[in-house]
Amino acid sequence: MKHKIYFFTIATAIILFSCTSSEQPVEALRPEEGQEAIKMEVVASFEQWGINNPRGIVKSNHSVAVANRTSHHNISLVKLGDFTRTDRITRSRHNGQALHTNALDGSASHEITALNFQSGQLYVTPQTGNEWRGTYCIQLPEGVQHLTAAKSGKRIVATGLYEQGRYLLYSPEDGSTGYFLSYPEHPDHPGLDEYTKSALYASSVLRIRPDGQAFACSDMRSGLLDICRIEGDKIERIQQLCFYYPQVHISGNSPKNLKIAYDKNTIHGFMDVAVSNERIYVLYSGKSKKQDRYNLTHCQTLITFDWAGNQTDLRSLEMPVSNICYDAEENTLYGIGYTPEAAIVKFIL
Amino acid sequence: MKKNIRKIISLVVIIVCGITLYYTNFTNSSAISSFINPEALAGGENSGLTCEDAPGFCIIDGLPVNGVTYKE
Repeated sequence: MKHKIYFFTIATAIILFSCTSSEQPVEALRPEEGQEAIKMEVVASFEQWGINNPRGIVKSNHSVAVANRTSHHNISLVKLGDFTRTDRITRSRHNGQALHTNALDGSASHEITALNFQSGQLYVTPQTGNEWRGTYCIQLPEGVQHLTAAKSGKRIVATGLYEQGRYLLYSPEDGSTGYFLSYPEHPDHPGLDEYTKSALYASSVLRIRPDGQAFACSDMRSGLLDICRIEGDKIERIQQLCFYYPQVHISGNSPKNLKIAYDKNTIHGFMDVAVSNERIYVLYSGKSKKQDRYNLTHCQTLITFDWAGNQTDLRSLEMPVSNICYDAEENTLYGIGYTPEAAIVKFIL
Repeated sequence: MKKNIRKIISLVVIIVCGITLYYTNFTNSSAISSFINPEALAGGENSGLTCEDAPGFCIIDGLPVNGVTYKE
């Protein structure tokens, strides 16, 4: 009888705890009280280069690439300690130019990329030492809507409104394409088709590990982080972490009349990601439209994971930051911080 | 007597596990959004949804636009 009671107790405890392990509450993303915040050093104000609305940053050597939301060009290239600015990708509807670009990325060494999501063209700017070379573009497979992409060597990983799978692995050299894995489910909306899920999780950040063997993909509207490996010509999932799902209203049953609106109470999640060969650094907002409508993107929490998906650190930041990038030469993070003016900041990790 | 104590301890463990499960689910969106009516969006073209400027995408008529769409 005694053994039966113990067996029953242990079995019940295991079953109940295993049910809770797949989803973790947002509380888990709150830094411990009393823990020291990550210190930051202001390196330079964006004002000195005439950049008013930076969204996205890449730093390599003494050069910094910045996504510029409101100027005549999409990308600005600047050098620290120098007031000159070089602009790339004219803001225009004309072929070869772009009205908007997103997904500024420099995870792969010696080049930066940015995607024109309207045309599916990925702009690549190689770097030699401290000098940026000419920008060229690669056309991603046509007939599908790409939303974010990153390049590593000869391969490109992208995600978008895909029905065949969440991730595209594309090799421009031989034109080989493959779609892999599915979009996350949503427990409040079971049975959604792949297209609806692709629209629900459209606001993604994708970064390829510098060695090109794995990548991380976060969702800005929730606490979802997908960690995948690139095995030959396939993509396999290492770990999908879910801290919480977005609160969302969904209606419509076809791509044309599908409407997705996030609840004003939904907590914005993983706004930007930076990666090294050892770590994944995630910038967490933790704010809802109702709580703080003007500063949703100003994040004050940095979460660090290893590539197996284990959380290794969770710290608050000394000042709000909207974007981050990893600098391999200095083995630290740089970001766009707010003093409250936008400035390049260096993390003292 | 000892048997009773063990039974009580077992019962407490089960209750604690149950509370943990309930609390975890309650703090997740599943429970919070149970009062959200997804059908409320089916208001046709004049549903009053707008795409506000923000990082990420709104999907309007199948096309992406930079921003985010909210609803109460």
